[in-house]
Amino acid sequence: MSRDLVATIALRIGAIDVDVALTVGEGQRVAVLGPNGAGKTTLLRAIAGLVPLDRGSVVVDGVRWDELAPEQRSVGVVFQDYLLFPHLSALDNVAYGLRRRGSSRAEARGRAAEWLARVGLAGLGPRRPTELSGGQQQRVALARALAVEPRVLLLDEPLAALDVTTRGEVRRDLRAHLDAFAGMVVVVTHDPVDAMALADRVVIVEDGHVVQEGSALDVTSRPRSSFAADVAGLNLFRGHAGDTGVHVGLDLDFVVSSPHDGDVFAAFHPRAVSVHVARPEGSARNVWHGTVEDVDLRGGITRLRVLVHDQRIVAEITLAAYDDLRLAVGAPVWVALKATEIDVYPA
Amino acid sequence: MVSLAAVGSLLFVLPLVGLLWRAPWSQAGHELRDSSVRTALRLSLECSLSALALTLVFGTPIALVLARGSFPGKRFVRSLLTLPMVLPPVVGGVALLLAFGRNGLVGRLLFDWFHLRLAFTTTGVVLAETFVAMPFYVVTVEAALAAVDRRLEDAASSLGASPFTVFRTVTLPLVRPSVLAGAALSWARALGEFGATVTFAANVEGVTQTIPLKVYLALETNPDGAVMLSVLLLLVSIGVLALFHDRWLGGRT
Repeated sequence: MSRDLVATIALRIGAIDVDVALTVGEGQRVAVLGPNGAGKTTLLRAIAGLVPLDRGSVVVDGVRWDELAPEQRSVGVVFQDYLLFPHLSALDNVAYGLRRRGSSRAEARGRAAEWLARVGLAGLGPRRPTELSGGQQQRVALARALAVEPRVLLLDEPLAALDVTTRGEVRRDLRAHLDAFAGMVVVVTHDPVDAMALADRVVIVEDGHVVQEGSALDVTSRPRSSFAADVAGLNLFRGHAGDTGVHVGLDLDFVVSSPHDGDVFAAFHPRAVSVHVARPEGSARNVWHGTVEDVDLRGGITRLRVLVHDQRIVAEITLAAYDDLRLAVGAPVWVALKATEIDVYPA
Repeated sequence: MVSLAAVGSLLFVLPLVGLLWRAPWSQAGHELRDSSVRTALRLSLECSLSALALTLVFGTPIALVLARGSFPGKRFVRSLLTLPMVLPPVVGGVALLLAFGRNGLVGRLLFDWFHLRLAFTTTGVVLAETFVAMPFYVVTVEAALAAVDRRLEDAASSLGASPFTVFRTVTLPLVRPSVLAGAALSWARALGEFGATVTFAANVEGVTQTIPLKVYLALETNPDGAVMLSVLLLLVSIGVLALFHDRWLGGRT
């Protein structure tokens, strides 16, 4: 019997067709990363049995979970807005799952109090959820899910509802609790920082389908989707390679440093793109003329989105350079990129 | 506007003042100790509480099905179930008679097969009161159930609660204020029921004569008693209002 989670999930919900295969090994933590509306939450709900599958199966430790009712699955869920029971105290929220699994009231409350202490909420047991801060509610939700010692822990955007100041702290604590958890973890998030901090493998889901999976490093260094490229902050183009040329658009061709053949991705960092007001004369093999479409100033760095024919190239320059060039939206510019800066890999 | 509002309010205030003004307070004890009054009082309590029990047992599933179920003709069923709220009670009584009377649609079969009579019996009073009172409960509880965040129920089932346990430990506690409000409303409505009761169950002392029927009858023969009983019903109504003061009069919840 293999000790793992193997989910093959196919169902239609609203306008999206979710069709995802996901494997989580013993003790492994997988982050499902993707834009809002990609079907990530549906995936979690399907594993927990809260939404029926059209096709596929959910197998945990060799047991067909999709044939079990939700309450028969050894699962703990931390829901996006926590969904603490408003009519119960924090203590009784945590004790709820223990009670349902046969513990006496006293025993359940005793263990719930231990869990509250473990997540740093000792003494707050009598409070109602509305009397707790967002961060505290998140901890109660985590304690409630962990208290039943589930085989599979599912976290749906566990940090999304928190403000920036508490987020870092809660993320660090969450990471520590996940380290102490022996079972399998699936964490859904749209935030790459959370994905990388909380999981050891990243699965990128877009439009209900897995577009890429691997370590955080794999996914960010060689993105295979526009979302992954955004996450990594890279320019990403899909095109057709022949020798050292990559044809990516109607009138856009890249010159790259090594020969390739067939469908490829071409990725490069915005830092590698230089911006000029006149046609540059230099070593760069890729020089295009375009217009500035958008300017984004962030912490001393300026990102220019330049429209070249029908393609968009993001260039990153310093604020000082931006000032010198006096570029406004709509201004004509030249962009240059050295062939050696483009990473080409098979699509 | 303010003076119109003031005049309008008099319509509600003056009758109450009249009732309390005319009430024979000195004879209150005497009137309420009268044996036929005590019989009517006991009958009223028994019948209205039985109607409340029926309302809770059948009204809760009805509210749940209306709030959660999806079946063809749901809106029609909902309209039918809430019709008694606007139907003249006497019409309800006639309808009950035609259905459950000795020669009624179902009443005939009940009598032939089980020798069971509903019209002109205490059971008939309970039936009439349930008929007019249950919609108040169903409407109140259905609205509350529809407002429950179903994802809280998902959370409960993910923690190992079976569907019935989810209902008992999450859904019901969440709608508890509305269950109490609906129960109080429908109980008060049952206690004061007159039209359907007198039509379907008639006015037989000790069998079907509840307090409102007694009041109506006593107005002719014993006005002081009628006023005293009216004051009693008024006090009960005020009690129900006070119980839900926070909910209905804009106080804290």
